[in-house]
Amino acid sequence: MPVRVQLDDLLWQRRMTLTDLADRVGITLANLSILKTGKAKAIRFSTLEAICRELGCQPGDLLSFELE
Amino acid sequence: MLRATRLSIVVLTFANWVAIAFFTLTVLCVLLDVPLAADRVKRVALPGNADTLKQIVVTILLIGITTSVAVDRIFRQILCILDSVVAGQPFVSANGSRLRAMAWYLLVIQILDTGFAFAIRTINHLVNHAPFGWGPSATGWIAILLLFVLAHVFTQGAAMQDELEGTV
Repeated sequence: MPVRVQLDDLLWQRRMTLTDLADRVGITLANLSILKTGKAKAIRFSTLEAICRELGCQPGDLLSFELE
Repeated sequence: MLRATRLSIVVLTFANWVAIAFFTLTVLCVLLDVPLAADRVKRVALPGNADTLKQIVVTILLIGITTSVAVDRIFRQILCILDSVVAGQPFVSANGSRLRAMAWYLLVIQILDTGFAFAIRTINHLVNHAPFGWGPSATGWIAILLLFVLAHVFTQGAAMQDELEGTV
């Protein structure tokens, strides 16, 4: 998919695990894993908001667009 | 409720197969001129019409067999849909395809019903007293339209469900 999710990089920079983030944002680990691996078809604004709040980043830091 | 419906469909499927067996046996008896069937045809037919009556009776029975097979296919689709409802996943694209298949089978039944009407009209001219009746009904045709619309709704619903499942 041309839209890439940079969650792995952001978590690594903040020394945070996916489980920690799941606990903080109140989203299941399974769903966050789907997002991290790029298997998600869509992302809710509420999810984006919660992740950006907990990671202290902008939506643009989390998502990037690359031509295939 | 779902269990009772499923049980009813299973019983009806069995009864339908009994009807198919009966129609097939009767066709064979009439075609092979088994004494009981042949005598019966000769007895009810107007003089000189026995052979034509025999052909029409066979046609009606073949319509009955084909209709029953189509009904069986519809019952099977209903059972699959009921199973998907019990499993908690009714909004799948397969159910849309099943509803569409049911609509086509129902269309076959309606067309056969029209053929049945012509056969009945013919048979009533060949016998001493007309035992059969047939009346047109719009219910079947409306059901076909309804099933095609429902099939479309289910297909769209399943696509929406798929999209929702991939939303985080």
